[in-house]
Amino acid sequence: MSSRRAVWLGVAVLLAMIACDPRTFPDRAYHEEFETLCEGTPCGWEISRGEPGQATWITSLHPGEHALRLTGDVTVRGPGAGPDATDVLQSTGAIGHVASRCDPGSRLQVTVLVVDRAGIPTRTTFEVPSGDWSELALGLSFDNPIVDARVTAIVIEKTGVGSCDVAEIVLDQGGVDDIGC
Amino acid sequence: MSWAARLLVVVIGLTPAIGVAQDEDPSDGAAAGSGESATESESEAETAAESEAESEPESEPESESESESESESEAEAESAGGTPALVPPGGVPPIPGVREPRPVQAPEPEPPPEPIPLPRYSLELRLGVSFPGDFSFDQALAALRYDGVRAAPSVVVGVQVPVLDWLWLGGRLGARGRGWAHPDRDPATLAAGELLATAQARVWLGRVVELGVLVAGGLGWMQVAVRDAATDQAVGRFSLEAILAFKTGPHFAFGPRVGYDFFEWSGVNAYGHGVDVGGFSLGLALEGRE
Repeated sequence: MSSRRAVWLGVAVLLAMIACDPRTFPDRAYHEEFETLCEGTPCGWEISRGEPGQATWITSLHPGEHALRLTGDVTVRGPGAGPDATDVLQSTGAIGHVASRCDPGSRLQVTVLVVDRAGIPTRTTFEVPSGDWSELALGLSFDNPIVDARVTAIVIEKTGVGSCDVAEIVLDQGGVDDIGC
Repeated sequence: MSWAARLLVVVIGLTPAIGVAQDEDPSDGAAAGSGESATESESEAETAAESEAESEPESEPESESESESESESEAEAESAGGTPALVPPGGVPPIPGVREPRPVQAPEPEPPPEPIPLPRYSLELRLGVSFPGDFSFDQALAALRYDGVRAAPSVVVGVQVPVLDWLWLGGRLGARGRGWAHPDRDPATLAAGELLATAQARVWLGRVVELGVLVAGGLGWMQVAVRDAATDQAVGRFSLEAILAFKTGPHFAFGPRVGYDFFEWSGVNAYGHGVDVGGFSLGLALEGRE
């Protein structure tokens, strides 16, 4: 490789580093941190099944981090992505992240409800393993093919003894090897 | 024949008699008066020299004392009236196979090493890094997509006073920290301080290199900040450190430090998670001594 080519290659790499912001990757279609409260409960969340005391807002790992604690058999439903969300999900490449912990004997199931560009609703359901705090990252497989789908609601169903704490739910579109430029 | 020719004949005839009369020195009257005794002493000296010359090649090389005594006896013989004609001009020629006596110079004894002056006190500045373990709080933060850096830079200032040649006591004040980056928000941080009592055992390897071991114990303080909230706790603190120092002058020394820091906080949250800011440590210390 000549020295001139090496110089141009270096310039190209520098331009790519400036132009490609890794923080913009991946496209964020949904993000719930349970950090904002509306009248004492996480904004937009409601109990579908169970008593009010079975779903509480708690301090989790640190006073700066909060979570939704579900005790016993209870189902909660949260808000969708909202009208300001610009990123959408596709049939392939959608990834779900859940940060949670569950007591032994508990079972936690998350259902993602979406509506695609044609207005056709569909869903995907996945189970979160019990144990100490861990991050679950898995590819989402929707019941029907979707194109530019928006998240309309999240449903969390907790069954079994003990409790589960859910600190964060993130839905992204895009492979982890992609670079957002 | 003229009168001048007759005078010349007389002068020529008298010249040998004048030469014989001049050879007899009037100052050596005694010797001249005892002509037989002088002749006898000369013959004895010649006999002794010949016997020495015959015996020397067969004998061992002379020792220095023997040569000295020989020269002294020669000097005595000269002073006693011996003729200097026995020693040729320029001294006695070297005899083959006989080592010439050499002047011997005794080596000067080395001065005893000066004792290494012990300073009154030592101030220390230590920059280092420790490598905390992967504790349960790190794993919990990783579930929330925090990416921790398993290294904690530290800075320590200390003072030590020697109470014995090998034992130094003192104290340390230090600070350190670490962080967990997050892709969507500000990183979580851990800041820590420490106040320790120290005891060092040091030995000198020469006048430049020092080896030592430091034991420190005391109190530590940790603060973990996530988002806009912070929580803190006082914890126990312990250190064990190996010291290698190089003196760069009468007042300065520097060198690497290797050790282990116990600096943990168990029970950071209600889940009982623990976090660490100690672990295996490396450092470089600069000491100023007075």
